[in-house]
Amino acid sequence: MNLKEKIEKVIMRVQKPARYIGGELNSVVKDKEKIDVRFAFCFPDTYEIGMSHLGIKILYHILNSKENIWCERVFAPWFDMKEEMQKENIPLYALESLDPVSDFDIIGFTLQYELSYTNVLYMLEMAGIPLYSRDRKELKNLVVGGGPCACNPEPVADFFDLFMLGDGEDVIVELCDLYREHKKKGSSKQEFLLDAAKIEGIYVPSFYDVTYNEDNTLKEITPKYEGVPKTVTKRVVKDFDKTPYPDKFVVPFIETVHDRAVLEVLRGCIRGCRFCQAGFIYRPFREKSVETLCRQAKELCANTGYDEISLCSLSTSDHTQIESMLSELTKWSDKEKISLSLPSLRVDNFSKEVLDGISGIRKSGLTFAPEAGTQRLRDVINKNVTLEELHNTCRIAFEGGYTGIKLYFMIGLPTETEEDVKGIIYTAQSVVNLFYDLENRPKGCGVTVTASVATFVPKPHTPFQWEAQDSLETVIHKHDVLKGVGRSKKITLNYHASNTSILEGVFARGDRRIGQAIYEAYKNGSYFDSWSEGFDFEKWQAAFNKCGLDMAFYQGRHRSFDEVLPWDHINYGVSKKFLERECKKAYNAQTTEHCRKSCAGCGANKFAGGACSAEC
Amino acid sequence: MQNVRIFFIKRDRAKYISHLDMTRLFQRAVRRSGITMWYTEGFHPHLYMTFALPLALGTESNCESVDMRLIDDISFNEVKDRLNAVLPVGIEVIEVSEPVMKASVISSSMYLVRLYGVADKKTAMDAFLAQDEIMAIKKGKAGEKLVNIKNFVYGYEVNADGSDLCLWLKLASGNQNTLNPQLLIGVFSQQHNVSVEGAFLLRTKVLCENGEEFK
Repeated sequence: MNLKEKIEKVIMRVQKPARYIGGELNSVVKDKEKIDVRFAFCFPDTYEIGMSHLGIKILYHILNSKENIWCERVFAPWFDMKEEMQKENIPLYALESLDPVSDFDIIGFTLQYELSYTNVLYMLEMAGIPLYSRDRKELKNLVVGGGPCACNPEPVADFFDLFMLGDGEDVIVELCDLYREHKKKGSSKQEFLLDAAKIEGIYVPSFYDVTYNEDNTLKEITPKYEGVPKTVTKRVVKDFDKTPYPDKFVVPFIETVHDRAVLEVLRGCIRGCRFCQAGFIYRPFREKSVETLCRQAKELCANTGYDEISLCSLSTSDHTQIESMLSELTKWSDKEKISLSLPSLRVDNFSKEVLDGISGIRKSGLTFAPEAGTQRLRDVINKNVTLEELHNTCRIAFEGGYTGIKLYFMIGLPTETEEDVKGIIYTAQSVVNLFYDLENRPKGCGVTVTASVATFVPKPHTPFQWEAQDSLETVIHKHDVLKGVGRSKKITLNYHASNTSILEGVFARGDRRIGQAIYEAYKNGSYFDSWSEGFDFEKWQAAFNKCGLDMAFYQGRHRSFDEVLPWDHINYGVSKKFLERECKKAYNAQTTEHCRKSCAGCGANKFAGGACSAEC
Repeated sequence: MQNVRIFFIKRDRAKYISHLDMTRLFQRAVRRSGITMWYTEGFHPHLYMTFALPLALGTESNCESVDMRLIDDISFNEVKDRLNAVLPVGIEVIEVSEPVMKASVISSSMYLVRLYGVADKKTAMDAFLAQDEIMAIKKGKAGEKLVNIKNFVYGYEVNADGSDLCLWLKLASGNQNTLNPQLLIGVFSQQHNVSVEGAFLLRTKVLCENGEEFK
């Protein structure tokens, strides 16, 4: 029985068979005999999550546009499918060819969130591929990684042969080209890796020695060989407006999390909110022209048949041509009956024009993120949003007919006091009051204000990278404070205390020793840790204990500015000095103006060709 | 505006697309094709579309149909060609025509079933299908019910083909009664301890009360 027959035999036994069989519109099938490099693009989560991710669509498109490369998709089989696959000896396979992942030259994982790390091991094991890089002797089955978590890849460094840092569009093609050359020459894995390490943006973790101090902090990370860079700098695409963007997406049969066309409007962020990792690691700020955006939107919808398109960026309203962009896009979307959604709006530059642009088709709720409950704490995190601006925005929204507002907050931010926590409720309450004070509020219906409170996790390459993260007990106490504040019935309060934030905090700023604990926990049955079906904190505690590692050392400890950090040899363009300056300003509740008002000297403008277009 | 009945086949990997997902698939295909079809009016306009008969997940078909209302002044052949240019592998329009019958007159379907490697069970299958009563649990809107599904088997033929067992089945389909061939072979599989997983199931014809093919 061939693999396809075996798969067909079992998939009727599991939930949603269509997850496991491919064949979707716009999926790319090539003749493998004519291919030099086969690339298995693995998303370490379910089909529905992975198929919603934009990065995989961009890189799938770019790789498959090359004649000699075939990129296929691989997702993590859910528990029921895993059981069936093991019963029938079905190895992990790719969705286009249904060939085993172990047939592929390069196996690439995108690391979007820390809690997916065990799924990388799970997928490798299902593919029958050794988990540790050192146990994979051949060039074939090269395991590579990328995505935001690669900005501190140390916790998973021992499992990967190399990481691609920063924008993947160019470097992934260079990697495949180099691989092809070495495959042809019959090079060893070591020979290939030595050459790969010379490509800007490629980090080969096995080429570095890591030493520790007696207090368990890092002493040094040094290259083992000549020609291996001391610091690896991330890649930035040269011309963002002209960089390839898919004109078609693979259109899934089953409903996925984000089942719509997605248009990336800009990359990077001018704001510099101090808690936000994305705001620093995607710098410099670059945007696409209105002309490019309109063309890409039309192509995507025409080739997929989607009737919904979402504009994607860290802060869409910061596009310099936001108004002409929206008016051009709505002209087209109205005519084609396509609904346009704009998920990332700020409260300080939200205008009636923007609202008109998005309210054409559906009046669903609006979401804003004040992030903190008092002005002092908003200044600490450099959110640069005032209560007045929030009220102005909510007024425009209410007057425009909206009656539902969702507000995002965080607790556990540095310097936070009980007053700041209570301020979350006061802020939400003030929006409710604002609604009832409005003469021309929508009649006949009440207002609902949802306050969603997340737990802050300090991340690498941010001004808060040195901070201690709250323990679970402290988080629970702060939730009690929140609950204790009297509030209107119009306010829905959402919060959730979980050890997942603790583990996320450990992985985010972990060093190379964490890898052992990840291995132990996986071997002890931990995977799908971002799902309640999979997460079991006790297994993690056992794994850390067994390895003699202390979670609080990584997550609950304040670091001094002169400590060597596990990601100090990884350069995302934002200098450590700048982050330190920003951190000190945070302690004084001093804000930093956004990049368009004045350049704060983060360092990201030095990327050749990808120069910062924040126009400071 | 012109009512059109679009006959299509659903083969290979496309058999794993559920009935609900077929709706979304055709909505998107119509958009990609650029053909103007009629949308329902009202607060949330959507493409008007009616499938004659649902098809069970895992079963292939040569004779599915969906009705739409064509607004563009184009030929049936053009509708067919433009849809085929944008449909995913496994789904192919074979004919577009004016609806002749109402879907409510559908009463049965013909199926071809191939059970791999169990040709030696021919006698058992013959005996199984010759019974007056085959009790099985049917899941319906009102919950689960124990019914005699033999009442919904209108005809059959059993042949051994090499190492496989081939069945021709005429089973109830439509508004009144419906029998999914997977249920029938599932009962056989249980009673005779035979694995029928990965069986090939193909709907070959949709028939009306008077025995004519649904047009």
